[in-house]
Amino acid sequence: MNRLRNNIILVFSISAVLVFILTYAFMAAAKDNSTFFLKDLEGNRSALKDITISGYLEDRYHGRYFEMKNSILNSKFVYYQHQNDIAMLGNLQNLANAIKHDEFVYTYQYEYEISPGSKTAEYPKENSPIMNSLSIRKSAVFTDSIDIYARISKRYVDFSSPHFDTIYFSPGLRYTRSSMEIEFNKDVYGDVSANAEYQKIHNIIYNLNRETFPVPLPKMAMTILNNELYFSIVCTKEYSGRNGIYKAVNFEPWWHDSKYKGTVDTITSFDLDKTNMEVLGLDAVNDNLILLLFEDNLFKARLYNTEGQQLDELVFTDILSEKGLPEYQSFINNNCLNIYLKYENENNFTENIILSIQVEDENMSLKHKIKKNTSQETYLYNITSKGNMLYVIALTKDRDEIKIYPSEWQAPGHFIICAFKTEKDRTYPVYKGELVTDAADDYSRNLYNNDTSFGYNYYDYRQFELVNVR
Amino acid sequence: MKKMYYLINNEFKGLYRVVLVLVLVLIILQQFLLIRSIKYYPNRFERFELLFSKSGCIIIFLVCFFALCGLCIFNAYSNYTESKSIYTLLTLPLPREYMYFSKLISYSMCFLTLLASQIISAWIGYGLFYWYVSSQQIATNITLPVNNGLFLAFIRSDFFRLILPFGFMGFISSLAVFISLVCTIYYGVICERSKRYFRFAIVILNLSLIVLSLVHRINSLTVLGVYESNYIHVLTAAIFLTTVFIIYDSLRLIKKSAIV
Repeated sequence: MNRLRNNIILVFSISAVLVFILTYAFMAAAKDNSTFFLKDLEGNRSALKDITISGYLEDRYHGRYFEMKNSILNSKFVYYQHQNDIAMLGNLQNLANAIKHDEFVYTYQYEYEISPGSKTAEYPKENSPIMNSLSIRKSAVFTDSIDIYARISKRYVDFSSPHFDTIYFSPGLRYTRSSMEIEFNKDVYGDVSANAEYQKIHNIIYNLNRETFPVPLPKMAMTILNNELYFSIVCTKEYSGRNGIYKAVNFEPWWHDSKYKGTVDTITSFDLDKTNMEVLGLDAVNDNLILLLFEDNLFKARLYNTEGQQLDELVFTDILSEKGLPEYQSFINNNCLNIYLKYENENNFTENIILSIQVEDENMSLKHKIKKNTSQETYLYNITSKGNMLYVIALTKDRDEIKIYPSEWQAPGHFIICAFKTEKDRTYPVYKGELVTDAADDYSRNLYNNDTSFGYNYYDYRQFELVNVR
Repeated sequence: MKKMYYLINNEFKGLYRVVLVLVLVLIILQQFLLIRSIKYYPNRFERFELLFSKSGCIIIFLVCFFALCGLCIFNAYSNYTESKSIYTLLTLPLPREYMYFSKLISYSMCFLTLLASQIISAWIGYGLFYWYVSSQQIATNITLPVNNGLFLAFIRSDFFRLILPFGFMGFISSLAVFISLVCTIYYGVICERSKRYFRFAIVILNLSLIVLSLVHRINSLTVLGVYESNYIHVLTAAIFLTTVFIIYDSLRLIKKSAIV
C-alpha cells in the first residue's frame, strides 16, 4: 500500500495514458468497420470492368472516399477538420436556380411587370392595417398581360466579396390571359396623404401575387461554353412573345444607375406566337449548343453553333408534353449528351426516360434510349456513355420504405448502379447492383423525430457526393 | 530526476483523493443521466452523440472541470496557509524549476485523469445504451443501434472531437489548449501571490485565445453558417507563444522569490 502511495502519480498517469492509447487504437481499427460493399442484384459485375466509379459518402464531420475499378471496390476513411475538407462544398453541383463555373456562380431570377397598354383595374386594400399611414398606400392591381424580365447575377462562389454584377434583360416574353386575373400588389411610397395638393410620390413598387398566376412560372436553362454563359428561357406553351438562345456578354455592377444592365447577344430567336414551342433545356457539347424543346408537343433536340445556325435536329415522336413538361437533368461525357426525363403519372408511378445523344462534327445521333416505369423515387448522380454501354448511377427511394418516415427527404435511399448495352438500336439492361452502406442508420432518428423547427441540416446525414464515372 | 519524481509524487498525493471522487461523480452521474434519457421513447432512435449532449452529460463534465480548476487553485494557495509550506519548498536543496514543474505536472495529471474518465464514461454509457436499445422490440426492418455507433459518436460529436481529435491539426490544437490551460491557472496564482496584477492581462489574453480556439474548432464545421476561413494554426501558434512566455515569467518570478 505504501509502495502504491509512493508511486501514485505513476499509477494515475499510466492509467490515463493507457485509456487514450486504447481509445485511439480502437478508433484506428474502427474507422474501416463501416458497412460498405457492392451487392449484385441482377447480371454480372464484369459489366463494370471498363469504367471507374468514384465518389464520397460524407457528412460534415467525415467522409469515405470510394473507387471501383475493374469491378473491385476500395474505400478510404477521411477525417474532416474544416469546411474546406468537405469534398462536396468545394464542388457544388445541381444548384436550384444557378450554375457554377470556375470561382463564380451565376444565379437567375425573373421580374414581372404589367405590359404597357394592357387592361388594368386597381382596388385599394381597404383592410390594410396601415391604410391611415401618410407614407404608404397599398392596393391590388389586376391585369391580363405581363412582361417577363430576366436578371442574372454573377458573384464569387465562396462569398469572399459581397459585390455582385448583374444583367437585366428583356427577352420579349409575355403572358397574356383573356380576363384580368393576374394580381399585382402595388405599394406607393411618399407623402400620400388624402389631400391631393400635397401628394409627393417617391417610389411605386409592384409585386406579382404568384398565387394568382395560373401557369408554372418560367425557369432558365444555363450552360457554359468556352467560358461564356449561354441561356434560354424554360417556359410552357401558354407564354407568348419571343424566346431564344442568348449569350451573356457583359455584366455590370449592381449599383449602376440603368434599368437594362449588362449586354446580351441573341444567338437565335423564336417567335412563340407563330410556333407551339416549349424550351426544356440547353447544354453545350464540344463547341456547339444543344437546345432541348417540345415543338407541337413532340420532343426535339436541336444542334446549333454559336452563331445561331441550326446544324442538326433529332425528333422523338414517342416523347410528348401533353401532360406538362417533364423534369430534366443532363450529364455530359466526352461528346455525348445524356438526358434524363421524368414524368409523374397517376398512382405514384413515374416514367423515366434516358437518352444518349452523340455529337460528332455537326451531326447528332441517338446512341442509347431507355424508357421505364417505376414506383421508386429516383435521384440521379451520373449517366455516362462509353462505347455501346450506358451506365446510370442513382439514389432510389422505395415508396413503401418512405411511408414510415415523416417525409421523403427524411428517408434514406439505395445507391444503385445500372449498366445497359445497346445492340442493333435496342438498349437492354445487363447489370444492376447496390452499394450497400450503413448510412441509412443516420435516418433512424427521423422515425420518431419530426421536429424540424430548428431546421434540417442536410450535412448531418451521410450522403453520396461527387459521384463520377470515367 | 529522482528528486523531481519524488516532488511530483508528493504534490499529487495532496490531490488524488479529490480527483478520484470527481472522477467517480462524473462517471456515475453521466450514466444516471443517460439511463434516464434512454427511457424517453424517441431517444431510442437517437444517435448516441446527440443523446449524450441532450441528456446533460456535457454539463456534468463542465462542472467537474471547473471543480478541478478550483482544486488546483486551492492546492496552490494551501502552500501559503497554516504551515506555510511555500517557504519549505523554496528552501529545498533543489533548483526552483523543480518546484514549478512538479506542480504543473501534477495539475496536468489531474486534468488528464478527468479527460480519461470522460472517455471511460462514454464507453460505459454506450455499452448501456447499446444493450438497452438492442433488447427492445422497436421496428422489424430498422437496424438499431447505429452500426459502428461509438466510433461515429467520437467522430461526429463536437465535444468528443475536442477531447479525442483524430486529425493532426486538431490534436496539436487540443494539446496546446490543454498545456496552456494548466499553465495559465497556475500563472494566475503566481501573479496574485507576487502582486503583479498587470500580468493578469496575459492570463485574460491566453484564456481568450483558448476560448477562440475552441469556438473556431466547433464553428469550422457548421456548414450552414457564414463561411469562416481556417486559421486554427494561427490560434495554436499564438497559444503556444503565450504559454512559453507564461512559463518563462513564472520561472522568473519563482526564482526571484517574488511569490512570497
